[in-house]
Amino acid sequence: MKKIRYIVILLIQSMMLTGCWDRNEINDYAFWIGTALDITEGGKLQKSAQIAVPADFKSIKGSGGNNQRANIVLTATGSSIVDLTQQIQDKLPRRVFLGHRRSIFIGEKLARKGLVDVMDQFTRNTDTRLRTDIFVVNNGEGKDLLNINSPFNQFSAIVAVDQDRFCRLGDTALRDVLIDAARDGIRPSMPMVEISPKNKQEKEKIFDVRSVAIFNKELEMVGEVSGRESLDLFWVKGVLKNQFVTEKMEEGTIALYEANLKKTIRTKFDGNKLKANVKLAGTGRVLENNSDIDLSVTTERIRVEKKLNEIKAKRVEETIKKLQLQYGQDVFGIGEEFHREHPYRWKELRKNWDQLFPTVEVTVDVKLNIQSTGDIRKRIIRKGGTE
Amino acid sequence: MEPSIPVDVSESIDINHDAMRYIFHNCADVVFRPLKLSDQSNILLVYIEELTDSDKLEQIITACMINRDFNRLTQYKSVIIFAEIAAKVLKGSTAIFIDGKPFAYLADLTAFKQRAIDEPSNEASIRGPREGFTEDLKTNLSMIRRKISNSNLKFENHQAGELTHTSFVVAYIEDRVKPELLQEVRSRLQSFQTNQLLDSGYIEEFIEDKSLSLFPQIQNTERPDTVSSGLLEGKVAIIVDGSPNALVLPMTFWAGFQAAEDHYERFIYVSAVRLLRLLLAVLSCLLPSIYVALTTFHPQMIPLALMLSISASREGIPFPTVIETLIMELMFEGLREAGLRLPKAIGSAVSIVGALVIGEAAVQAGFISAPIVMIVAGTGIASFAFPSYSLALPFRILRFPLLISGGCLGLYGVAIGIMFILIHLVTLKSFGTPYLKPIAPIGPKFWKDTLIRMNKRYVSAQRKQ
Repeated sequence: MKKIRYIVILLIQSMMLTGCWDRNEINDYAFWIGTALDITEGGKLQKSAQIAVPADFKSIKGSGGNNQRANIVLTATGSSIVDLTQQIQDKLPRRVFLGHRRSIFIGEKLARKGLVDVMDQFTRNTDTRLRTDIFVVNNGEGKDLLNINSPFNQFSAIVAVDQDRFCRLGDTALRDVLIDAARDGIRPSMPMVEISPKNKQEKEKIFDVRSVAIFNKELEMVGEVSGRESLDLFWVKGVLKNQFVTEKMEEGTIALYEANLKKTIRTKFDGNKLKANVKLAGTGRVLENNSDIDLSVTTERIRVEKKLNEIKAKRVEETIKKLQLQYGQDVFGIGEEFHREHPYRWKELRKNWDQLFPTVEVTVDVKLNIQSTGDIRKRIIRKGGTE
Repeated sequence: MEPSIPVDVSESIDINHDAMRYIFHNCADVVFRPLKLSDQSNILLVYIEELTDSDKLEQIITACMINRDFNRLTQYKSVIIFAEIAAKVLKGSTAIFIDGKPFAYLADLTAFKQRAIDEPSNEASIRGPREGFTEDLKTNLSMIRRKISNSNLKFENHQAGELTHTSFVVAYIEDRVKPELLQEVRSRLQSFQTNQLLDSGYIEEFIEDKSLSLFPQIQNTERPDTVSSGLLEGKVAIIVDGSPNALVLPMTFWAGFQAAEDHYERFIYVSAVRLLRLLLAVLSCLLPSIYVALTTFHPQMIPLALMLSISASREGIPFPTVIETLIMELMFEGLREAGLRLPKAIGSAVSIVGALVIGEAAVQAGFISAPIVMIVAGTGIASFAFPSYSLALPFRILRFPLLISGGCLGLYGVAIGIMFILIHLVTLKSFGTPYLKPIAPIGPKFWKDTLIRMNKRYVSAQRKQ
């Protein structure tokens, strides 16, 4: 019995002595959902926070709260991120909680000036979730994005995450940017959001995710690619898993849904020249066929496949060429492939990779496979067409 | 000074009469019936009216008196010691003293009013036999014997209780039970001394391995089929007169998750249900503590959307989450206890008042947040999913220490609590069998009949090989 008494006393003491009394009621936290980082006219850092207001949250009482924002946007200006966080905390009656932050928006101005100083803090703060999505705001300030009041979700920061998932541009999280920034053979890229309402209803409610910002070694934004080029970029980078391909041939346009996208990059040294061969593959289903070609005939289909592949390869080559010449930043990670395949020679290359990358001769092979013609019923044939 | 009672029956019926009178003085239910036969010989009948079949008794009396057929009495046991006679009379025999004979016949004319065989109310099943044990030992034994018609099924008579003289039976199947187990059971049964034995629960407490443990180490059941299947597995059963609950030992933790029905229903469904029961058991113990730990210590671990709706419902709630949960859990346990003791008609009213009015009103008034009501209700439902009531009890109790340690230390505290429970469980033994067998230590029955139940066809085919 005596033994048991000692054990109980020891137990109670050990519980008291641990000191990790970080109990905090859920309604004593201010949930920080989204961050926006901007630079002011005077060159100072400005941080805005989208903080959840649970009392306005939809679920609290049946129908009410539909038009409420359920969040408040606070802004502080200063020099360091930590100082700014503290400034925002000063405006709140509850403890700031960063563990649920979903996205970070960076104003284009700040992005062009360079993010090295800003990023350092993310690598240290243990509260930061590495899966937080990160965006550059095209022609605008991050703060504006936080002010958007989407009808689908009360938090624009969450809307951006969801939109990123469906917008074909992969899913770039803070983690990916940090990893890319730390490597020599690849330069980071981030999706860009843009507020450009096309009609009255879209105003202050809708934003776009459609282009990709390209960064250099110093994490300064140097340019952007959009549309098809951005998809090509992510395909070569290996991030894209599926996409819609629409290509125009002489006979008409054919649209495919390509899944299982894969890439392999082979690199070699040819004398003084660096050469890289990109192989892209995928299997697809025909979604639209506006030509007179009957894809159910195997020989025809193979001919079309071949032709499509040629056209596509040319397009991708063009994209790579453009990025090489225009920005000179290796966002594809071709340098990493050199590193992987020629680890010893990479040591000489790594220092001046930015100069070498534009000189790399890249060839592209595309091997898209039409697996299904997608016919549900007999197709509609143009009057006077063959057949 | 008390008059000395003679030990043995004397030849004089008057002395015998006085002795019996002395033993049973102030026992209003004991009947003394002196009869004078036509040849002037005296007979004395001593019996307890309520325990005796009066028809049979009258038959004997007529035989003795009218036909003067004393030979009929010789089929009964003749006893010469008063103490033994008295004990038998108390059990329902009729003592017949005849003048001039230094012994008494003991006629077993026992018959008393008893409850009919009923469906076991606490262990109901959809499929399978519907009979349950009653309070009568003989009826209970007959139910088991009917299921196992084999001479190897042994019923050993025992008696305990210095005041109550309660008889009980140790049942086993001779070639199935391990001799060491039987020896251990016998020695434990002999080692305890008690004045009274009113229910099988008394024996359970005396012979179980660790009576300080929260977990039951001896299974109790109202079902003859459960006892029979236990006996066939080589277990020992103890059936106590006057108790409708038979004890089956040794018990393992997993036996508490197995309903009798599991062997009658189809095996795939049974396996799924057993896993469900285990899941619910874990929930019944951990749900409140994990909820409290997550919301107050680790909000990072809750998905954002859920987090926001929880925090929305917690707006303006005055109590910390731990206290809130504790209040509701206590309230729930109170309701359950009250519902159990109240008459059936009122019981349902109490549960409606409790569940709807208190829960709803507390949320409406803003005392308690809505998720807590859900958590407590979920825990309550989970705790009813145990086939064995006695195994559900430790889970009910352990919920509270876990809740408090989770509320003080977060998941760390919950983990410590779980570790203590597991350490206790793996060290626990029931009559030499590890409590968590065949999972810890892992044993041959692991796949056949523990968390899941294998197809009987497959199991018997394996046995043949």
